[in-house]
Amino acid sequence: MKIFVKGGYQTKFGELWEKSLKDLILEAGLGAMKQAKIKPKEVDLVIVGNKLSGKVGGQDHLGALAAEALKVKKGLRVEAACASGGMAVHEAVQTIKAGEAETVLVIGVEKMTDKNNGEIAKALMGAASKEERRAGLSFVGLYALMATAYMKKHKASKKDLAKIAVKNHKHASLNPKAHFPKEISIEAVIEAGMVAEPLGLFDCSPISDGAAGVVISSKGSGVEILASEIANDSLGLAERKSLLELKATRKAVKRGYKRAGIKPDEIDIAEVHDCFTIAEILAYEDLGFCKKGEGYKGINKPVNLSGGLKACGHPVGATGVKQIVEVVSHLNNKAGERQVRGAKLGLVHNVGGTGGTAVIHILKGNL
Amino acid sequence: MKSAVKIWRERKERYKSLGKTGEVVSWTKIIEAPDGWQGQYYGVMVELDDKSKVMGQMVDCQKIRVGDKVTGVLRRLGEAEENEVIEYGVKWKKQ
Repeated sequence: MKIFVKGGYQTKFGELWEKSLKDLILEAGLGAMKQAKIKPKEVDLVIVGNKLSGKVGGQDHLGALAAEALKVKKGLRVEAACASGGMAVHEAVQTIKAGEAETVLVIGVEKMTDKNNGEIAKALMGAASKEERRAGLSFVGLYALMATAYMKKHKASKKDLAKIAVKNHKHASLNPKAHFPKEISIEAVIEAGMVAEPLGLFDCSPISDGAAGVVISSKGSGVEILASEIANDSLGLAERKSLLELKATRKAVKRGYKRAGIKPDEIDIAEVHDCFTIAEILAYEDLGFCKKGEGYKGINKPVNLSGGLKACGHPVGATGVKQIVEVVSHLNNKAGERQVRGAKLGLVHNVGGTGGTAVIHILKGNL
Repeated sequence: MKSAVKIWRERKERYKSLGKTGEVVSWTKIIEAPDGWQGQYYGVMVELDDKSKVMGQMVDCQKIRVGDKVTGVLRRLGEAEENEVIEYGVKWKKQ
């Protein structure tokens, strides 16, 4: 069975004071169905990827909420921390493969800016282990532990990390939907205030509102999903052998490449999970785009054309779906100024927590 | 609201690193803390003498390096609000 992405849509990411969670679900859902040229009654199921709504917005039961708002027959919600969006797409693929649906609408959504930073930092820590919460760590802190270990082992510098942020902001400057559509200098990144040493403000993805939607179907044609793979690792960092890799990413992508029958160097474009600059460096290595210990030197492949989580923004449940929307737009040759010419194979990498979950999608254009 | 029952239920694993010794394998200085904590403080990953690893927070510490030897000590964890249980657990002190 072949499964396709029929269409996708991303709302503006940012501090969207005038938009509620439901407004975002509606905009992303209707936008995706319009792009896919289908009507709500042709959708068998809507799957919502969301992490925090129950905790910080007081609204659970998003499957029913989305089904009602979009006039779709059935709805359910999926949570896998910051990989909720990617996991929702994976669930759509599984449901179609199982023969329980032909066409599934997936919406990733998060409304974060109604709360202050401390509240969001605490709420996000629900994706970590109990011991990590008890140590007063934040997600920045957990990735900072990885950064400290990586920088010491491979003699990487703060400047090496900063280059990731500069690149992603440059990409975002061409993306009007990005939270921060503007370039920044390497000095600004290095001199910014610390959030959790060695990670400064510009090493971190922002707290954003936003949503994205895609229509996944076994009917007709479109960008084909060659592989949809997930893998897990321990919730906490202490239970892992190494701080220098995300084993979940390695396991999921290995299966993905095998299923798609391709090698890493055949990938033309990728959206990877750069929640912090160090995370993109680790992703280069874990995805096989470069050798272990060389990710900090950069790679010769277009990555995070959307601006990544860093500059496009990171409404956590929306990110995994937005990444698919971005790659699909390139494979359909509709990415405008950001278009990677002749892109045929794309990879999407979405991570939950510090790598307790990884979701990989490999996509093939049909132009 | 912290639950006294939950804290009591966790007593077996909550204090298990008390008095143990180990070595800092990575660290971060938390400046922007999550709600319930007051920055700044050092967060650490410690490798215990039995080679298992634990997450924790340093106390009485001005400067830290990978390789520092530390001991688990009993300390108050985080900030308790009015009418809330004060939570205790293990933090780490340089030897």
